[in-house]
Amino acid sequence: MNTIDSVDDASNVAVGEEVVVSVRNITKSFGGIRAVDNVSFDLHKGEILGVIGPNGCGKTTLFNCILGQYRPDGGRVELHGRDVSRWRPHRRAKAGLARTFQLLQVFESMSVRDNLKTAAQEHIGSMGRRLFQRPDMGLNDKVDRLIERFRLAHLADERAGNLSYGQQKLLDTAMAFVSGPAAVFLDEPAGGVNPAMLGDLKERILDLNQNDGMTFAVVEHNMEFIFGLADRVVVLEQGRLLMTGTPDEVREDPRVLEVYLGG
Amino acid sequence: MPWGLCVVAMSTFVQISFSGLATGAIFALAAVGFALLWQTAGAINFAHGEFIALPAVIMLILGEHRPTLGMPDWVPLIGGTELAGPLPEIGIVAAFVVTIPIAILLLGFVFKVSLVDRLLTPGGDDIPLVIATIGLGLVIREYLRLEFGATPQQFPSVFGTEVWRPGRIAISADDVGILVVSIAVILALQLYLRRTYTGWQMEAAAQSPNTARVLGIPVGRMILYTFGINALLVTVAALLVSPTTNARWDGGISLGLFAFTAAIIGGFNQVRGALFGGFLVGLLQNWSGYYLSSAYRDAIPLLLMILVILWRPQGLFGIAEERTI
Amino acid sequence: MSSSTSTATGLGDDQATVTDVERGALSWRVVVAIVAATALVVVLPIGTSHFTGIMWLWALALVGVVGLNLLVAPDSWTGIFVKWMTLAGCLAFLVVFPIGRSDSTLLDLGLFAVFGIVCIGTNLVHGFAGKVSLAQAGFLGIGAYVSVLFDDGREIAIGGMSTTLPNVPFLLAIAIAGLTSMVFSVLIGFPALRVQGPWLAFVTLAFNLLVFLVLNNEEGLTEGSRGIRIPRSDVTVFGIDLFSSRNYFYFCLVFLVAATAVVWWIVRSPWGRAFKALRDNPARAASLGVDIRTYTLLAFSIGAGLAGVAGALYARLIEFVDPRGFYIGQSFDFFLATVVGGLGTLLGPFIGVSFITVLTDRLRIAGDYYRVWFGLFVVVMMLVAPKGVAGSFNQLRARMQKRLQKRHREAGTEKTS
Repeated sequence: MNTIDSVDDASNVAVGEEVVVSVRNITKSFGGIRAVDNVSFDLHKGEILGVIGPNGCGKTTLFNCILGQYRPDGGRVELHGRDVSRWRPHRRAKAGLARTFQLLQVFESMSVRDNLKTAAQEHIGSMGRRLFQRPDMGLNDKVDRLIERFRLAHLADERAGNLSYGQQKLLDTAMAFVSGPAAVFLDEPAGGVNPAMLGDLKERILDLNQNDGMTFAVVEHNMEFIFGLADRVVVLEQGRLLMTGTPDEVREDPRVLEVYLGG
Repeated sequence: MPWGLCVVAMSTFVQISFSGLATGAIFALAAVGFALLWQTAGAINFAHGEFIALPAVIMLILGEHRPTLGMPDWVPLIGGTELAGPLPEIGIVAAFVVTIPIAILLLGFVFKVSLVDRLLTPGGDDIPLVIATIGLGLVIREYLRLEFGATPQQFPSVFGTEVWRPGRIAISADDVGILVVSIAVILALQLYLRRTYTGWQMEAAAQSPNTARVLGIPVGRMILYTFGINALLVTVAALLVSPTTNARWDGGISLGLFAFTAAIIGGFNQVRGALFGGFLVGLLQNWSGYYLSSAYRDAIPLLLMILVILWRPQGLFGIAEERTI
Repeated sequence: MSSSTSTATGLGDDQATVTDVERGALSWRVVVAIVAATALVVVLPIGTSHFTGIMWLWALALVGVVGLNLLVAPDSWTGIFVKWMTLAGCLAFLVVFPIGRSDSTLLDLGLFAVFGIVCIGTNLVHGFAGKVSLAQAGFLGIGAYVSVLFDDGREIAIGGMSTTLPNVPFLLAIAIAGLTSMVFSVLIGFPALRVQGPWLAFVTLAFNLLVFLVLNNEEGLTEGSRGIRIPRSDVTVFGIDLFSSRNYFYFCLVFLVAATAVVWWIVRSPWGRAFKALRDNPARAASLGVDIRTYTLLAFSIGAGLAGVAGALYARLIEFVDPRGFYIGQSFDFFLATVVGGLGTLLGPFIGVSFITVLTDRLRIAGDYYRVWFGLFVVVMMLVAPKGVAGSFNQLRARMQKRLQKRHREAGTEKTS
């Protein structure tokens, strides 16, 4: 399976659309194991890209390379044409690459409002000026509106640690979005969320994508969740890019079925 | 004559190194205990030094010095001057034997059950235990100071005070004894861990508690045994170190400090690492004390510890652990 | 929706914004009660010594103040008044109490103020930014010695070179002391970026020891273990002579209030949120744009700067500096005191520092065994109330407020307090 071919295939599907994030030849090894092997793809503005693959195929490692938690052994990452491969995570975040984590989530000791203000504040002004501005930095309206959208209004002043797991996930997603990023990378957003809240979560993501034109890349295990959400899907297997296509194409591809052993 | 100078320099070097190894052996004992607790239970004990100072005082009380310490009559005098006669060493060895179960009970079982189990939750913070053990160290230290006086107490050496002089080198029987006993204890420990079934279970529990549980190993009990072994090690360390440093209420601070310095430098996730760390710290102390500056003899190990924490946190002889994000 | 109390993490901490309408009316009964109780607490001790009969009334008034803080909703107008009244009362107490006290009491109070500043710094570094630091005594020492060296125009010799330092006015010496500590704290700050929790404890401990070794051995610089006598007889600030113990205490009190105000401002500001993010979840914080490196260094340097300033004040307070005062045991004390008081709260450091200063002599019951009891208290506290005195108070208040709100809602009335 030639990697370059698959990227061209993807570009054919989304011809003319602006590329927000360009991932080229990312490789990452741990000890003797190639966790990510020469993976390339583009993320286009306004699309929801699903990243799927069996356990241990390197999805999260790939995200960590794109967003700065890991330094890849090779390859580059570009945001709006700028090479961000050497930047530390917080700098990438400020440039517009937002993410959520599979395990790590919210700031438990602070209220929901404060969580969102923290997520938004670092993108405004300089550190020095932030010390002398009003504590809320004029973010109250923006934060309140987002709280409304995510249906967390009744919990706005609640300590984030007191929220249920699903509510924390919603908050986590909202935090990634509040700074108005160029693209949001969600790492297993459906993990551990009960079915009732899953629908809520999907709605929020679709809402942000359709009404705000927000670009998403989503790593997921839950096939149903992804196929109902993504415009395009990237399939990884043992660190390598297996194929790219629409959910239907992927669902029917024999290689994918083989990899999942009937999954 | 250059040759003569060489000989003198060499013999000085050998002497200092030997003495350094002896000190290092004690650090090794302390470091191994400290590392075992960290490895098996994730318990970082800031009162480790006081855990050495306390048995030393108990041995004194039970052994020789009941009169000078003003203990009440009901505290049994074991091997006191009446029984041991002109050989105070027997008295102290008898006291040592009796102190071991006391230490295992107090510093092993009670410590684990009352503090460690309550404060260390899986996936939680280990800082509360750090705070509690700092407090515990304070309690022991101040109690010893108030009950048993601020003056350091003479502690009899098990090995006597002889000094041998092969060539130009002066080697004290005490140092030899310390090395022999420490190495013997550590070898025994290694044999136990490698060759016996319980020992193997303990190793497994230390390496990977979850897998061990799945295999049916009673991990909780293994951890308890580890605490017991640690108590034994600190009691031996107390017996060996106190003749040189004297039993003192604040001796725990520097002992504890070098115990974890050694454990970190050597590598706390391997018994072998803590062992080498201990010897290395002892040697470094003596070398830098003689060749650089006696005032700054402690500085070199400390600097090395900082460097190890920053750049090779698994220690010089340890194994790198997998990091998950 | 009435104001929630679950965000209450300490007096003066970042409260959720509540609209005026929801705050409820000012309850005059409570106002009168808090003013009366606070007045009693402030005024009663004038001219009296500690354990006479009138002290029971004082203790009762104190309980009243604490109780009112516990029972009144912190977000309401009444709650805000109670909070500020309490703080004003604390300040008034500190101003009024020293009148007519003996020199030894004033020395104790001075220690309370000076060590209080150190604990405020520790609270910022550990309580708010989540970094364990056992090096505060080292920064205290650096500040103390630096101020002494500059204050006197001393000649120093290090490594074969010697120079005479300029004689510098006291205020400037204090500033230099604080700045020097801040500079040294960067040395700790960089390792702090790479390690967390207990590892950081070891690194800071080692640093403290190294500082001690230098202070103890570089006799050309510090006179080594002999120490340096530094009498206060010639110190004047803005024309006010600081020789008297009471004047000097008020001088230290000014710095204590300033330190409290500075840290309160920082914690309330966006920096405070960034620190808390750093404490709760550093990886998540970084992924949201929080510059971990800079904020960590900031937290450390502010904490160290405060300790450095405190060191300069400390030197002149006891009129003597010697290395033993800055050994790791002292760092442990500051650390334990801050934890016992309550991490991440406004009043925590004050409560905690009392345990290692003013209370040590006062509790005759414990006698010499005071420190044993303090250690035991720490251990027990970790088992039962790990959030410290102030932290547990806040937890208790949050629980009470929830219960009171529920009861009012069930009774069908809105909570107006």
